[in-house]
Amino acid sequence: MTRYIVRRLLQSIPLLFIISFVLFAFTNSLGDPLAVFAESRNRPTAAQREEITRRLGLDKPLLEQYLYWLVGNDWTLVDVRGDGSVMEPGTREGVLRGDFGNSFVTRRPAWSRIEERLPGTLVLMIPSYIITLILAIAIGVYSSVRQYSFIDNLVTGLSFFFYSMPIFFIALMVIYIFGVQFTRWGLPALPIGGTGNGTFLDLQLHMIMPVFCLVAIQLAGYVRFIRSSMIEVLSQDYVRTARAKGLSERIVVQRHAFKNAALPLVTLIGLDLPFLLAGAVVTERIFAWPGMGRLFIESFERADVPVMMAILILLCVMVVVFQILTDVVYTWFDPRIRY
Amino acid sequence: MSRLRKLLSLSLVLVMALMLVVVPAQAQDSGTLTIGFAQEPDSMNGFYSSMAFAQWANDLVNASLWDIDNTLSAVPVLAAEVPSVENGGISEDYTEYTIKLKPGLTWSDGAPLTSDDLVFTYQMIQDSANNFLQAGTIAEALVSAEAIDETTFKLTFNSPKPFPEDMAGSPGLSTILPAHIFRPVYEAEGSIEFAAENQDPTVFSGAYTLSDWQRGESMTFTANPGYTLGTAKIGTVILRFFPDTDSQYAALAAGQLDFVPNVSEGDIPRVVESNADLKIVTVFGGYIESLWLNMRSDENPRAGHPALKDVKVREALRLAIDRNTITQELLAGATSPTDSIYSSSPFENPDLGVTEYDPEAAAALLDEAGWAVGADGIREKDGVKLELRYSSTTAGWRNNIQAVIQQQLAQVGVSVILEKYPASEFFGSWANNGINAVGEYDLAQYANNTALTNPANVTVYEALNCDQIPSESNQGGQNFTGFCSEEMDAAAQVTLTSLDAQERLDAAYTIQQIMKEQIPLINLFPRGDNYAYNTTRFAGEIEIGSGVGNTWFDIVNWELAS
Repeated sequence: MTRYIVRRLLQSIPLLFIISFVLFAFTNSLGDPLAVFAESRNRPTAAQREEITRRLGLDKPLLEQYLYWLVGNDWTLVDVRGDGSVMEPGTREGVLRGDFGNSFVTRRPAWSRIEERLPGTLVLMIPSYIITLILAIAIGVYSSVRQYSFIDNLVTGLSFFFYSMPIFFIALMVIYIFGVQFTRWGLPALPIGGTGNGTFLDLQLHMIMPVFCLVAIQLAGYVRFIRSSMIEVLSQDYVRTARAKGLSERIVVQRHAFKNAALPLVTLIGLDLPFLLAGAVVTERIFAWPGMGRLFIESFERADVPVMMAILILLCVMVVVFQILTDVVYTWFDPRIRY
Repeated sequence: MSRLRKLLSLSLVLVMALMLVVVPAQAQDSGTLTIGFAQEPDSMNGFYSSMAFAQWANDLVNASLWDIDNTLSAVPVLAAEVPSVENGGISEDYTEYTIKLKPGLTWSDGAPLTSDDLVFTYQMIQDSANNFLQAGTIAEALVSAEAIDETTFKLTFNSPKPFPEDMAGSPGLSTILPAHIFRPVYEAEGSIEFAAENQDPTVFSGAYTLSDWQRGESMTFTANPGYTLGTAKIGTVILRFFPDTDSQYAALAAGQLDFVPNVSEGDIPRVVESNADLKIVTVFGGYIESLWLNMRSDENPRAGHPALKDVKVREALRLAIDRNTITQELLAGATSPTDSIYSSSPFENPDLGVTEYDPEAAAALLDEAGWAVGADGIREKDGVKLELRYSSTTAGWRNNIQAVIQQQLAQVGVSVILEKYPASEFFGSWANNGINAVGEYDLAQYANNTALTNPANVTVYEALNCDQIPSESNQGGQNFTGFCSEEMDAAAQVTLTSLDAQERLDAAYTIQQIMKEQIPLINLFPRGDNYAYNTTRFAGEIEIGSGVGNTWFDIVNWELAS
C-alpha cells in the first residue's frame, strides 16, 4: 500500500509540470494586466508602463517567464529601462521554493490572497456539500426502494426542477423573495450578501440563502446517481440471498445493498471534493461571499496571472491527492481491491 | 423509512426555527452609514491603483492639499490657501509653487504632518523604482521638491504649469504619504512598492480611519477626531463589496444598504422603482463616451475600413446615429448627446451645437461619397462592402448601445459586426495584441477621461496627437484613431502651456470646432457617476463631490437621521 502511494505520488510529478506549463501559457494569453489603466485619470505614460512591464517580467518570452515562475529570478538581473542602463536584481524565488509571486493587483504574495479566501469558501462549501450528500443518500435510497411511488416521483421531479434552473436565477429569486419582498411585507427578512458581523448566529443567517441554492442545484445529480446505482445493486443475486436468509429489509438495504452501491459514489465524491476548494463562482458572486470562486474571477478580469496560477496549481495538487485517497478508500468498501 | 421522515421533519423544524430567530435585517444602527461597492479596492495607497473604488476608499482616509467641490472650486484642506500668482504661491512664470500647510496638522497616530511628508511624497513620485501607477504627469514635470520650513514647501517644474490642481492637491495628487511610516521601508528596500502600509494602512490624515478590512467582504471606517476640517458626524462608515449588481440593488431596495455609487445609467429606472425612498444624484466627472474611428494605415499596424478616411462617411455615421434615443431610452435620460469632448466642463463651447439625427442626410452623404446601396441592402464602392467592425468592452450597458447603433446604421445601409472584449484585451498593449493598440477594429466605443478643471484635455493632446500614432517604432503610441491635424496639435499645446486663461479657452474652442468638422471620433454623451442613496437614512440633503475631485469633500457634514 505504502509503495503504491509513493509510486502514485512520483508519477504525478511530471504530470503537474506539464499541467502547470499548459495553465501558465493559458493564463498568460488572457490579456494585458496593465490594461486597466486605460480609462483612468492621470494614467502612467507609455514609457512608465513599459518599465512596469519589464519589472514584472512580462516582456520576456513565455518559456522564460515560465522558468522564472518555476525557479524565480533572484539569480539574474532585470533590465528595467530596456537599454541596460539600470539593472536591478530579481526578487522572485519561484514556485519550487514556495513563492507563487506577487499579485499584479495588490502587490501582495499571491498565496496570501488564497489564505484570505479559503476559509470563506470552506465555510460555505463543506456544509452545503454535506447537506447535499445526506439528502441525496436519503432520497436516493428511498426512491430506489420505493421506485415510482408518489414520493419518489415528487422528490425526483422537484430536484430536477431545481437542477434545470440556472443558479443565478435561483439565487436572485431567493434574494428577491426572502430579502426584498419580506422587508416590504414587514416580515423578518434574510440579510443579503456577505458573511455577517462575525458572530456565529449572524454567519448562519447569511449562509441560509447561498447554502440553499448550492444544495438545490447539486442535489438532483447525486439523487439520480445513487438511485440508479442502488436499483442495479438491489437486483443482484447476493441481495436476493440476503433477503432469503431472512435478514430484515433494513439490514439488506443498509449493509448489503448500500455499501456496494456506494463504491461509484466514492469515486464521484473523490472527484468532487478538491473542487470544493475552488468555491462556487456564481453563488459567491451573487451573495457577495468572500470565497475562492470570486477571487479567481476577479483575478481573471485583471489578468492577474500569479493569483490565477496559485489557485489552479492548488486545485491540481488537490485533485491528485484526492485521487490517491479515493483509491485507498476503495479498499475499505471492497476488500477484493488490493494494491 | 421512518428515518427519512424524521430527517425531513428535523430539517423543516430547523429551517423554521432559523426563520423565527431572524432579526429584521433592516438597517444598521443610526451611527453607521453602509455603502455598497461593486469592487473591492485593490490598494489603499492611491499611487498603486487606477480603480475608481480604490480612489473612493482612499479619499475617505486621505486628506488632499485642497479638494475640488461640487461647483469645481478649490477648497483648502491641508493647505492654508490654494496657491495662485496673486497670493504669491505661484511664480510669475508658473514654474515654481510655494505651498503653505495649515499649522499644527497631525496624522491619526499623533505624529505631526509637515512639509517633510509632502516633500517625501514628491520624492517617491520621482523615483521610478516605486512603480507608481498614478501621478505620471507629475513625475515627468517635477524638477525638485524642497522643504522651506515645517509648514512650507516649494515645487519646481521643468516648464510652466498653469494648473496647480494637476501638480498638487486634488485630483492630481490626492494621496500624501506619511513619511515616518514609509521612509524606513524606502531606505531598507529601495522602493515602497511592497510596503505593508499599502495594503494594511495604519496612519491616516482624512475624515476617517480604516479600522477593519475583511478581505472580499467589507471595510469599516471610524471618524478621525484629528481631521483638520472637524470630526465627521457619522461615526462609522462600512463599505460592503457586492460584485453582482442585481444583489447589490436588492440590498439597496431592502434597506440593507444606504448608499451606492456607480449605478449604471441603464439601471436607474429599476433602482428608483425598487424603493420609493431612493434618490439618484448624477455628477459628471469628465468621461465622454465616444466611438473612436480607426483611420490608421497598414503600418500602424492595421488599417481600419477605408471608408472611414473620408470625412463625408464619418459625418454620415454621426448623422445616422440617433444619440437622443440612446440617452433617453437606454440611459434613462441621465445624460444627453454631445459633439464636444469638453462636454459638461467650463470649457465647452456653448455655440458648438449638437448634430441632430438625420438618416436622410446621412444616406445622401454616403451616396455622394460613392458608397451606393448594393443588391443586399449594404452599401459598397469598388467591390468593397461598407461593413464595419464595432468593438467595445463586455460592459452590459455598452453592449446594449452597440446593438441599437447596429440597427440604426443598418437603416442607412451600413452593416456592423459587433465585437466585445474583456477590458484586459480591449485596452491591452501592442505587445499583448490589445484591440485598440493594434487597430483590430473600425469603430471602438469607450470613454477617455477629461480634466474638468482645466482645458488641457488628454483626449486631444495625447489620444489624437500626430506623434502618438502607433507604429513599429512607436508601440506605446496612444493615438488609436490615426487622426492627425497640425492645427489641433498646436491648439492643444496652447491649452497645456499658455499662461493666459483666455488664450487657453480660445484654443479649447478651436479644438472643438476642428473636432466637430473633422470627426476623428463620434462623441456619444458625457457619462456621469450616478449615486443612489436612501433619503430616509439622512438628516437633510447631502453634498456629493463633482466627480473630478473628492466625492466625500463634504462628508464631515453628512448626518444620519436619528
